[in-house]
Amino acid sequence: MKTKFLWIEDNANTNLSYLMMPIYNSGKYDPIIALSVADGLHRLWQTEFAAVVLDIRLPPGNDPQWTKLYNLSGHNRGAAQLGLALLIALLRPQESEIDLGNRPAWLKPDKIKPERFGVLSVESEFEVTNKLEELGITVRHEKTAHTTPGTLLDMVNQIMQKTKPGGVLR
Amino acid sequence: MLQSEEVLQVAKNYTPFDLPVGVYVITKDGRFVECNRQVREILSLPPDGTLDASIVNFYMDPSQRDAFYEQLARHGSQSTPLKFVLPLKVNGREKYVEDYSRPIFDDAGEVLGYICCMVDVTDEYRANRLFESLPVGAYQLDAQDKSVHANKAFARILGYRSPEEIEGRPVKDFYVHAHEADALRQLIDRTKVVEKYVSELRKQDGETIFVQVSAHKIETPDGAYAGREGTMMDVTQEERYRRIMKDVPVGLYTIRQENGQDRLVHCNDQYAALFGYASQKDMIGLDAKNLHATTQDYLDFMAALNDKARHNQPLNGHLLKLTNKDGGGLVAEVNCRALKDLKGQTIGRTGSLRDVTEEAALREKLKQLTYDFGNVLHDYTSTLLMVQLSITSALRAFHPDPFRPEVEVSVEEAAAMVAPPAARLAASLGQLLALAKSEDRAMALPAERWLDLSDALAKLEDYEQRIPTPDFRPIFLGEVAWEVQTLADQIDRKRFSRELLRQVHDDAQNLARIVHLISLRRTRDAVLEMDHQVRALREFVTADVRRREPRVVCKVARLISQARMNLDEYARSRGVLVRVKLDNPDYEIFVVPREVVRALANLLHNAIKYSWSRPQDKSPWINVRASAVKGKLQLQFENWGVPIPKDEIEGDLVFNMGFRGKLSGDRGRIGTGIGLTDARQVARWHGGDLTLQSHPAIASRRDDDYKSPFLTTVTLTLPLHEGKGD
Repeated sequence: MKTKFLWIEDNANTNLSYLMMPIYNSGKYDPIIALSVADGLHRLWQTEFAAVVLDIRLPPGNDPQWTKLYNLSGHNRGAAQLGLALLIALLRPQESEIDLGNRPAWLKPDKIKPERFGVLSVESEFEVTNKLEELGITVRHEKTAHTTPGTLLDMVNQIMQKTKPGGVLR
Repeated sequence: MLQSEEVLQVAKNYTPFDLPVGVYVITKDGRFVECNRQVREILSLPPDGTLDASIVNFYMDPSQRDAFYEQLARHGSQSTPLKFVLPLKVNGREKYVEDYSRPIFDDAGEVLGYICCMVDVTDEYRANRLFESLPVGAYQLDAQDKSVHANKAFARILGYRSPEEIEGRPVKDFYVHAHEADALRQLIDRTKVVEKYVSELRKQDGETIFVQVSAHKIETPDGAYAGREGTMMDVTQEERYRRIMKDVPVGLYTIRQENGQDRLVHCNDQYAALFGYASQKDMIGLDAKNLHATTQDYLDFMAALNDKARHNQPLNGHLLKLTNKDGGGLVAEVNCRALKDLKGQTIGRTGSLRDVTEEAALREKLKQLTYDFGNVLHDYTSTLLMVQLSITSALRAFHPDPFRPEVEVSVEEAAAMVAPPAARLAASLGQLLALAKSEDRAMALPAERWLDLSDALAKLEDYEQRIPTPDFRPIFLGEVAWEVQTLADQIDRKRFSRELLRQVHDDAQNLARIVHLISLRRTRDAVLEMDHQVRALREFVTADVRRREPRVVCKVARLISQARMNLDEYARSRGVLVRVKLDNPDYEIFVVPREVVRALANLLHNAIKYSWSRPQDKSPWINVRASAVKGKLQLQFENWGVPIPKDEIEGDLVFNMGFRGKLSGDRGRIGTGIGLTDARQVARWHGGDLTLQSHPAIASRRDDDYKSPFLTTVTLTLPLHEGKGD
């Protein structure tokens, strides 16, 4: 059975579609794509994923809480950093202004594992790395023109390596 | 008898005591011998009866009596009596008399006593004393507005030693603007009285002052102007303050905290105008809390003010959101200080307000634009990534790729790589054209098309002569290959061997494939190069928007490694070898890492970009060296390649924002002209600097021989953290 992983990325079907080819070619994974925060949350609530890779500058999608947060930033994805806000809401609910409500078992505060999450975004190391490290997320890649098609596959493999029994957990 | 004689006759019947002034006779020691009714009235003595009193008892200061008699004694028997104004004390009250005394002598010439007159001048004396001692200037002008009389204060205000220096002078002499003197005269002539009229005068030493005049008109019996008299006060300080309050282009105010309100007790008209009021009078007494846009804004402001007040500091440059009279919003910059009572309790505040609504809107717009710009550049990165991935995919269609993987295709390599397929195509096309000379085969294509193919063959055979610049040869050959392919496809295949036609077609396609490969590889190289430009520009543009990050102690080796990692792909694609050498691996600097890494990446990127390829198998190189000089870190980036002309360095032009040197576009190198400027700003912000040198790599070459390679060294200096590693 293929391993399910979630990629929350609004450009997944367009600019970044090349990154999916190595995933399909590997035959190891069953990727699920979400194009917004709301869409991503919907998927997270439906299924337990072995790995979740997400962007930082995400659109809110059809959810009033996230839309409000997005509007407060002046409708600016760069300022809103909803991907980061989503990670904080999931991993540090006490620091978040978003209430995610009744969580599925694998996302309960005492069950959720930051090692399952990775970030693929255009933000430079200095913009988000410290925040991500505080959240316990170490799998991270900065999107540049040098990014290769195999990047997403590499990231998912890294997450799987870290989360498998006896894997290297930082 | 003449009337005058008759008057004299009658007058002789009067004694001196009948005169309408006080007349009295005293002994030498001052006892009254006789006096008339006026003296009794002046001294409040019984109206009749004998006198048992001495003039000495009335002296304010009895010792004055001795001085008085000494003077009389010196005066002797001169016919003119001595005149004194004597201060007396009568029934405990001060009284002033004008006293004329004359000694009376016995036969031996000894003083027996004195015969004296006295006139009560208490009122005049007091008036005169008041006039002279007034702290305000008092003056009188005649009909020509010349000074008739002035007191000491008047003279002092105008910088003169005595009123005598002023008397007789036209009042216009003292006015800074003579027409103001005329205006005042006309006003007084018309209104008879003016009060608190402010004029600007010039003192004797040239200093100008402001005086406040209150005066009334002196009239002739028929009401004509005969002059004026009044008082004058020096109000220079008050007037200057008033004018500052009136003219200063900011709102000034004082607020006192009373009964839970922030009561506005003083402000100028500009302050009132900020809030839409016509005059400051309309605002005095208002509760200033209500001027804030929201209660939270007020509380935030007070918290900031109190925080400063605890350290006895003013609150400067604080932005306030306020509400005007009509409920409209405004943004003002406030500079103010808390007012405290003797116990140190805050009782109010005073300060200035400046309307910065437009400025704040512009700042907000700039911030928004910066964000937007950052977002656009973010999208560029995504787009560049898509282009790169698409090209990478497309390149597979042109397999096999004869070029080195992940290394930029140089002009020389490209030119060399197109030569064999061009020659092969020339050979097969030549064979085809040779066969086409036979009549039946010539029918396979219209004559002019054969001419086009002949022309294409000529181009393939001598393209190096036609195109002296190797850069353009691949594109040129690509066009020729396309032309040959198109024409060859039109040939009637029945008249030629299939193999030969296929050979021509395949050779043309192969040449076109190599050319397309070159083109795609170059496009991908340009995309990869642009990627750094876009990211660096985004970092630079949004640097001021982001909250200034804290400085931390960083290992220099780590910062270099980070910058190098960011440019690894680029260096590899350029085939540039980056050599890093640190004299001490433990060098530390106290910096904002993000800023310094950006600066280092800019310098490294430039060094890579402006490196020239080396002949044969030698890789271009960059030396990065870190050393310590006098407590400072020196990071040198040295590269071999594109020269920087002397005048661009000496004129500091290379550090100008957006400047691109005349040789920087060498071989299509792109850039924004921001990297060096940004790097120097970062260096200077951290207390360091950035310098640059460029000279011929071969010592024997002239320093303006820009066809030869130059060694360019950029030196970044930063303070070492506590001399660590020095």
